[in-house]
Amino acid sequence: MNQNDAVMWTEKYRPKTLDEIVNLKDVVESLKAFLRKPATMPHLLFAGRPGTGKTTIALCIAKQLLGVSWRSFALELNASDERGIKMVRERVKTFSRYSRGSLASIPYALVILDECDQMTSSAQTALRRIMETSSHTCRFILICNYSSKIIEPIQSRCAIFRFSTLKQEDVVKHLKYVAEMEHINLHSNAAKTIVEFSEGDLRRAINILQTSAVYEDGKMINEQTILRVVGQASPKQIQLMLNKALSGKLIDARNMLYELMTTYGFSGVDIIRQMHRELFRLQHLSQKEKAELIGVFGEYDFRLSEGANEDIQLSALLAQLTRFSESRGNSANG
Amino acid sequence: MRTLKKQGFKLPYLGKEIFIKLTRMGLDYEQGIFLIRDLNNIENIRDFLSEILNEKTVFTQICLICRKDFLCTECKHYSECPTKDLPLPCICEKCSQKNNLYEQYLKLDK
Amino acid sequence: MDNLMWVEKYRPKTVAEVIGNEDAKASFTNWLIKKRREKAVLLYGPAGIGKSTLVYAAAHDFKYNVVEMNASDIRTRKAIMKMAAPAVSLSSLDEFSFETKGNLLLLDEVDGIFGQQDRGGVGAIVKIIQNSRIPIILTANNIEIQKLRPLKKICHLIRFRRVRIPLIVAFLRRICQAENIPAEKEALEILAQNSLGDVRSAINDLQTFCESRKILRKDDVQFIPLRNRGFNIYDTLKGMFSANSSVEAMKILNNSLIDYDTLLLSIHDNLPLHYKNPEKLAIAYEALSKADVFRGRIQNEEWRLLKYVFEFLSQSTTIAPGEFQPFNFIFPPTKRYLLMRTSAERTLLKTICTRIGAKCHVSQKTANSEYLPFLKIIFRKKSDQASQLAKWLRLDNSSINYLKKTN
Repeated sequence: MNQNDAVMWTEKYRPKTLDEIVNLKDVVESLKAFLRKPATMPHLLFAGRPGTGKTTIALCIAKQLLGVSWRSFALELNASDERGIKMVRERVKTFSRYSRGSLASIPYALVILDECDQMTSSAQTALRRIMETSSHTCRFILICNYSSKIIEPIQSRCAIFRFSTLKQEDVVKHLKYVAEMEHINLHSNAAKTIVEFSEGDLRRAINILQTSAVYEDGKMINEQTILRVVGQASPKQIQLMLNKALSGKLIDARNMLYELMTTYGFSGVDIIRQMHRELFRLQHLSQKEKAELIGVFGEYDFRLSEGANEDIQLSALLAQLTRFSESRGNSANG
Repeated sequence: MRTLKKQGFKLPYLGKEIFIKLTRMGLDYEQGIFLIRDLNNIENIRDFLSEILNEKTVFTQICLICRKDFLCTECKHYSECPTKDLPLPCICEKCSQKNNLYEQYLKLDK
Repeated sequence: MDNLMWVEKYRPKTVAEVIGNEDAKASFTNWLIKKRREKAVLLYGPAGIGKSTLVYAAAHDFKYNVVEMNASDIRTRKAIMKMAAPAVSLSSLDEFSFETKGNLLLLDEVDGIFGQQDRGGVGAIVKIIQNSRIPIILTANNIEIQKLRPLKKICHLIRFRRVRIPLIVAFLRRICQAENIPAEKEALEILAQNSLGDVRSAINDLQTFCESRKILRKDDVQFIPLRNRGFNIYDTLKGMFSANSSVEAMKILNNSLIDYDTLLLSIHDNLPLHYKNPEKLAIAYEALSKADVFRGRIQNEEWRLLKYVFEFLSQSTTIAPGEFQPFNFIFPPTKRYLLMRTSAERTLLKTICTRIGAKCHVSQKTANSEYLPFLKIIFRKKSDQASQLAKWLRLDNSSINYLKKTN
């Protein structure tokens, strides 16, 4: 393992040009067409689940369009980091002023705005106006998980690209590639397990891999390793909370939920993903029960994206789980 | 409808648990009669008694001026009253007609 | 001609003059002048029925001086301690005329203290009560909120209720006599009924109607717009949970003053307290979840979706009609803020996540959930890998130590 330049592998192995990207052929082709004639490129909206390549492609575009000093002409923002739309506006304003007409080779500056589906509709309305007023100097690449949460006026001004979840084989392929480059002994069962736990999120898969490599320190990474690493990455409280719910104690489960969200700062999506994973590891549920639960999870995962309050949706999910305690009668829960 | 007098009332035997609950809610018991010790939860007492006696239970009122008993149902403001059927001080229909009601009220020894 | 508001002009100055709540009055004066078991008394009940008025009237009768603090203005622990502390210590007696028996501390509207910003507010009051040498009087509109539990334990509780109509009529009549404005009895009755036991608003209404009139007739007040006595949160929650059908619960909703976002969260807080049976709780939460989904869909002013929100809200509280048992409502809604044990830790975490975000092109939030858990494992396990990464991420020593520790 390379000790000299330890960096996060998610960055080390991030494709730097569009050509390096293995999947998403149609997205890449359309974007290449725009890049041949930059003036024709509209604002872009990238929608898809986490870890599917949205930011990667946005950065590739930036590099290709803006050349060597692309960092000076691309502004990266996250809706959750910025304190409200006013700050976004300020930063874009300053940025577009500073970068205007600096170099002939630069068609326009880029604003990459991530997590815009987490902006309220009034913030998005303000964003649309910002996009309009700076359109001669900037192009926006908006990134989100759910395009349905983006208001129509913004959608109509963008070319929308959907990033589908990676296929399992592709993830495995990539993991094996990284393992080879890093001289790691990766058992194929381990790769499969990583894929299971990452649910199509390549970034997460690579992080699990890197962490496992450190964990084993030269020894082979097998399925056990992955389970241990993922177990450690997930707070014990998740399992405890799940068990409380499954034994019918909703108030306790809900309090643990709040603690997870405040102390650990997990979002609703994080928690539901982690609960899902924990479900896998629960020994005492039958296949039928697991299947039923997965259905419930799916429903609430969707509602999380639609609903207004994460607390409510997650508590409602926990409440559905308490039903399982009833139907199981008095059998001991973990 | 069961009417309980504000000054004190009797109840059928209800068992130890209910008795304790009633005393906790604000009733005292002396020589066979229940007295109201604490008015803070009187609504709960009324509703509770209605439930366990299985009929609507109301309290009588004592007119501040003439000191006579009367029922809320006799009052013309019954439907609008926010504290109906509760044993709180009030003024009966007859005394309400008096013109110098407030002066009389002031003179009362409360 | 004096321009005084009648509520001021005719404000009772002695205890005898205060109408209504006779038992509460007696209980209060007993507490004040006789040997007190509790150091503080909590007067509670709806607005405008005479709680503060009684306090001042009693102070007048028994020669106390009132030091008042409106608790909703001064919410933090520091502020309360700062203002109240001098008043409750012996030394302050020197500042006042020797004709008074001493000070009374009046904390008005203590139920205005809630929320995260007021952390310590109630605790500070408890401390003050414990250390005080003077009588302390608290008033509140609603004491069913959880925040006030510590106060309820140490105060003598006296409940005030809406004043009954015949008494209000008597009082209004007296004002009319004093103002030389003959008034028809029915007119006064309508005003009294309309006030719903709030003497203050009855007087205000009376003044409004008498403003331009020499005689007050029944017809003048006949079509008085009903004071929008929508339900407050306590009444709304109680009404919705005790309703016998979702239709009834919907009626309560429609008459509620509370905004639906707050209601959504309040019902969410209180559902498990109401439903003890997991099956019913799950069904109720299903309905609430749907209400929330529709709320989330109201993006572009699609208020027509609101009726679905209300529909599902009404369903969520009436899954088990007829089984309502009163309980202590949680209000205001539990707010989750991103709290860590200490703000120092919070700042540290933010720094770390910002650094990760800068290098890995993610937001702090994503850094926290996608990178931090793994970095912690790496840092705990292997120190040279860790120090390389730390360099790359530009982490300082305290950040590194934070990542290394097992939590």
